Amino acid sequence: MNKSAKSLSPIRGSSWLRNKQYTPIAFLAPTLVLLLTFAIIPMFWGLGLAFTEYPLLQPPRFIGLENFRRLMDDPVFWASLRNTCYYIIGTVPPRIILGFVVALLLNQAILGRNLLRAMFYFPVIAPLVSVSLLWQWMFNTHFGVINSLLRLIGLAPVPWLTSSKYALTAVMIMSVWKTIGWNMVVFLAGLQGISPSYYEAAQIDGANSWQCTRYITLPLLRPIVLLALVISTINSSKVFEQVYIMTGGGPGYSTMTLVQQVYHSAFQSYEMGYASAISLVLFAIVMVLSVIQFKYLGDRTDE
Amino acid sequence: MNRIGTFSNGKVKVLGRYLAYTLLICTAITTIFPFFWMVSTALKPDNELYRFPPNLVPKKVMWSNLSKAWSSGPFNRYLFNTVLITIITTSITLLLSSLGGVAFGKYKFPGQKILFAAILGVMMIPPQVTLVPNYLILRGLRALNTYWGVIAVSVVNPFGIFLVRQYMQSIPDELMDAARIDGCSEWMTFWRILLPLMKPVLGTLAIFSFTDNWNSFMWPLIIMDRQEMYTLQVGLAFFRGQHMAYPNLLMAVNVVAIIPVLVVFLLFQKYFVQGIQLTGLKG
Repeated sequence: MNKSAKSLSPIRGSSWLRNKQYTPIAFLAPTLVLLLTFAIIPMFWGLGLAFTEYPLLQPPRFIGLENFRRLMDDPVFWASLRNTCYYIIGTVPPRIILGFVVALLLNQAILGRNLLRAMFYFPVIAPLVSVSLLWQWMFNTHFGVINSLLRLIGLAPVPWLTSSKYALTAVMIMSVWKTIGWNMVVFLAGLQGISPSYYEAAQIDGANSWQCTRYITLPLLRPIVLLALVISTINSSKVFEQVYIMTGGGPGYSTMTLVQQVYHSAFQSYEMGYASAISLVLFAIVMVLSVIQFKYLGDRTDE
Repeated sequence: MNRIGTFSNGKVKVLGRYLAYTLLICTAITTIFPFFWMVSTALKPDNELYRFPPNLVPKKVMWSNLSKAWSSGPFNRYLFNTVLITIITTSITLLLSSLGGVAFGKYKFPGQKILFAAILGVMMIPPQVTLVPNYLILRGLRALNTYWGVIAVSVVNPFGIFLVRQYMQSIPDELMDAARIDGCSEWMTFWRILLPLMKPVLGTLAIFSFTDNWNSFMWPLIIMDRQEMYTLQVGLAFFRGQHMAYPNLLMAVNVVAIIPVLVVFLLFQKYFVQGIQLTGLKG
């Protein structure tokens, strides 16, 4: 038997291993217990709770589809759903496009590359609450630095966080800023995986750099784009901290998102059943979006 | 290709390069500007806050803002809570991930593939979906307002198990066999032989776990309703409510809360990038 061929299973043969076959189970036991308690059971319990009325102080009571009927008539829910969709549509393309452009520019051998990369990446790991507080101050209508800049170039100040017209946009701007770096790193990894020989061949054929990007880089990066798209969409659909800190869901319900509403229903109004029903809608949206994106972009790679 | 063609092509290239470089530097400055503004605001005296046009750099640098802000709330307690939770969670995450990774990467057992797929599948469940039931479970376990309540929910990291498993597959089985022949138990083989070999992958995992837990907000917000149990991030949000009119103090505590993350980032920047590129799974 060739020893370097790796599957030298510890279970096979030798007698000293026989009582060791429980080792991997023992190694995994704490993980499995925790996953069961805090991920799998909660998932099914949440599913069940969505069909109950549960004001926390009394035991849950089965009410069938009542929560979902209530959702249909709840203007706050529709506002949350609409805002979450706007947020996804408004932030996912810019973060991917900007991340891609920055990655393309940084993929060349230029001076200070590592420093620039660090500058783009730092917002990604900075605490979301801290940067939300920071942007809230920067977006301040009267004294914020953003409106000061607008005034300096002769534009009227914008009531960023105090008007229902602009509040969601302000939150989206901050979120895009926070996530460009992540997309950049993912795309840089993809770009570095493309063999330079493709570009050499294209250059001999007289392709310019736009054509190289369009016909070599983009098609080869399709799996990475897919990955970035799925993860960005899923993360966007769960937006919470920015909204909680910067606007609290307002003004009115103009920045209320699904997770924000789950939080409100569960931990402010103590309607656990209703909150679970909204969670379920969120879960469904995340799943549907992932499936659509995998299908659409997955097919295109076969071309 | 004729010579003139190559020449002008080259010129366009140089021009394009400068343009790209300028664009890149401008974007990078814009990206980093908010942090500059945070520090600048933190060091401004009250009378420079509400001025137009604002001073880019404070005329009078108020270093005292930092200590004044820090002492206007129980921030030492918040910091202590955050450090404790972060250290314990990160340590347990590393241990569980390395054990799990070894179990999947170095052993064979019935149902292994299905179990591994199931664990990765769990990664797809958004924690926001299990918020309510998890709260109820911890309430049932009387773990509200405890450190364990925050820790228990955050320690399992399927991403970590995945990372260690991938890494383990590149380590030859002979090492484990040799240790066994020398009389090591399975646990000793893991502890003495495999764990030291995992240093690079555990390093990556540790910094991700550190930043995740340091930055974590939603879960501590829900679990902790007694002020002395707040973490730094929850405390910051609470402080904001009381000191709306003093953005300099708010930014001052903000600076202190970000510094540890910045230090870890500067020291281990390479690992962050590697970690993301390794799996693309961590956001």
